[in-house]
Amino acid sequence: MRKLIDKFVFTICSLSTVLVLSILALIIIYIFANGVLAINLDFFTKLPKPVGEDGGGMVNAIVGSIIMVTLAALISIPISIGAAIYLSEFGKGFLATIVRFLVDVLAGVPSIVIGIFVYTIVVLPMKRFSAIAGALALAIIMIPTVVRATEEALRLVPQTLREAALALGAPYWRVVLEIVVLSARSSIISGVLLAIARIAGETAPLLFTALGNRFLVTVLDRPMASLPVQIYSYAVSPYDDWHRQAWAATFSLVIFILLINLSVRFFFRTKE
Amino acid sequence: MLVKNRNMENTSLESKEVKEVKEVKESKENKEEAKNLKVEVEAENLNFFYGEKQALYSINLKIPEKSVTAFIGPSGCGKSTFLRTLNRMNDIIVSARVEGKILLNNQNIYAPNVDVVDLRRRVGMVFQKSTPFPKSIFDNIVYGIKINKLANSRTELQQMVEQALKQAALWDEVKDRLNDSALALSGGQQQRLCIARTLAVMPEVILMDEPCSALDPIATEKIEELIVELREKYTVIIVTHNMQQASRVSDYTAFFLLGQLIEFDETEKIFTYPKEKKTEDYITGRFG
Amino acid sequence: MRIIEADLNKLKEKINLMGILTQDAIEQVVKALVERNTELSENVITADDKIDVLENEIDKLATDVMVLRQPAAGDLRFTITCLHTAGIIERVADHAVNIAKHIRVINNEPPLKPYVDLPKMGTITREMFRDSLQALITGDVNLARLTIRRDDQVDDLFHLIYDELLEVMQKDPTTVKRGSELLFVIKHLERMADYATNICEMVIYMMEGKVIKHTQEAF
Repeated sequence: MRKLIDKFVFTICSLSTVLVLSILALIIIYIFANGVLAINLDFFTKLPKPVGEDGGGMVNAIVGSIIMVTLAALISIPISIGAAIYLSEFGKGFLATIVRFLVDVLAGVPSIVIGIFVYTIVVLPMKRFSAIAGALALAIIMIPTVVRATEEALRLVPQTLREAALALGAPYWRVVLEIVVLSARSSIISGVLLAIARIAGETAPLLFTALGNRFLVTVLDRPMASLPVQIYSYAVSPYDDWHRQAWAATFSLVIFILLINLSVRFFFRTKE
Repeated sequence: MLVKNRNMENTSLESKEVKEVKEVKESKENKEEAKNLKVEVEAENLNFFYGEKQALYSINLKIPEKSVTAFIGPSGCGKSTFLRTLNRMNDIIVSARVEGKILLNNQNIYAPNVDVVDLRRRVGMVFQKSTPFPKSIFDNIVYGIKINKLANSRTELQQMVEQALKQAALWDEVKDRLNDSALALSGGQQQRLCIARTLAVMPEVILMDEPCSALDPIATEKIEELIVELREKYTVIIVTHNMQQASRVSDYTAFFLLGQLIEFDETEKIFTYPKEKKTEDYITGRFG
Repeated sequence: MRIIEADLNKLKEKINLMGILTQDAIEQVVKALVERNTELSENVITADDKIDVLENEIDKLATDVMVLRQPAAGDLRFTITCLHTAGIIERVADHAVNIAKHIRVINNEPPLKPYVDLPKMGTITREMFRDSLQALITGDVNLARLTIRRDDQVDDLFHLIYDELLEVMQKDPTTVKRGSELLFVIKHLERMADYATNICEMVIYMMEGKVIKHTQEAF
């Protein structure tokens, strides 16, 4: 009887695993199948053609995504790591509790709300959608993830390592910046990369901030295209060729995110 | 083989009587020296608190310079806490509070004008778990030298690294791979690297908190040999759970129990004829 | 119980047994001498083997304790004392055997003169040895110190008997053989008393950690 229950539980668990894996596999296979057929060199090099004309590409969206994600990372990483260092190394008492709570709240805020927030404080005063607004929204979404990951990584650095550096006559700030952060670097980088992977696929906040652009722009105070928004608008359009291009864009985005995840894996592997 | 050698040695030495007379003389000289020994570290009526809880009760202790002193006692007896008061490492614990004095070369390290960062350079520390920085072997040693601006040129820096590694008996094992990560070293090598790193900043006192408890017997033996050599130049204070280790490496032994210093004396006296019954009970395993 | 405790108890038992056997040997040779009973003294010679075996056992056990149990403080001093004392007791027993061998010759000759001081010296030596052992087993420092002091009595008796024997031998050269055999006997007895003193010194080391051998501060 006991053996029977044992087998039963094992079977249920195995089936669940298979189900999860097959859903994931289906999605990836579906995207790959459609994406591989849809993708071509034009997709990466050409601008979108006017409505009705076949062909063209999404170079505007690709460049736009790269610019805005990079900018978001540049804004959020210093702030997040700074906050994380404060929380882990100096943050004791009431203020730290508040900061930690706010970070938690921020992590739970739906991304569309952040989009509306940035729309209110940046887009409306500027009277224009812009890349900078988009990047700002993405940065805000990124912050809690990076703060959490970094704080966790810093906390995992053994206390004796800090003490060892102190015992050599190092001031505390140097210990933190040179030894503690260094020791936690691979975990911090992993956290940052995962956060980048997450914002690379965000659509909702960009709809209210960067909007989109049919042309390739590199100035930051103009509306800018991005892959997720482009996918969204092409996918809901009635044109077959746009559908094809949406598949191609989805495919590239998934590959990008997959690569980031794999490289994070690689980081942890080499560490241990 | 060993026995043979010993016998041969004996035949080549002076007659027994001459030797005995010499020994008596030497031991007398030693005793006189002991009286004149300079005190390096001194605790005066030291009390220590973690918040409300008192962890050390009026510790009074004089540790002579250029000697090895072992702190022994059961877990939680305060020996590690006391060790950490000697370089103010407890300062980083928020609730910690110290009363009384610790004198380092007759200067109270808890006086308000003391530079804690410089104090910690003068009183180095080696921990139970080896703590190499995630840098190369070379950079591990360099870190302390650079922070304290002890080297004036690249050549001087390299010399100091070499010297520190040699002092820690690690040079021959790592001289061909100074740029490899310190994390790739074995546990015993990492611990010796940490000792080398401490030596590089030219401390006066070296504190060791159970430096061998994570090492195998051979690595332990190497560290112990090193400790005995360090006595020539430094004052070494070591916390250990291993009483054989205390008896092997130390000149003086302090026995702590429940936050109190029960007995402090020459190691040989503690291990053959302790004055306090509590000490006797602890080192003969009658404890508890 | 501490692991070392069983070993130390075993050591103590063996030392005690060795002591009792040696004490018997002393008693028998003194009796054999005074009562001119050669048979008794022959027993002493055969019984010595047992004491030798015990000494080896104690040596082995004490070595094992040192290397395997690594005794410290009181335990260390006890182990060292046992190791040392076993050797001393064995030598006391050897002296008894030597006396027994002299008795073979002495009892074959006509008596030299009625023994007066000799039985006294024998008794004191025997008692000193007995007391030194008791001090060792019970850790009685006072008894050890008292016993050390009695050594002077034995020394005095030794000189007294020595002078007396010389006188007898000078007067009558036919007594030289018996007389010189007796000289050996009293020398052996005197050595035994010295050894008892040594055991007492070990007791003081064991209990107080003080080495009083070769020093003036025995008391």
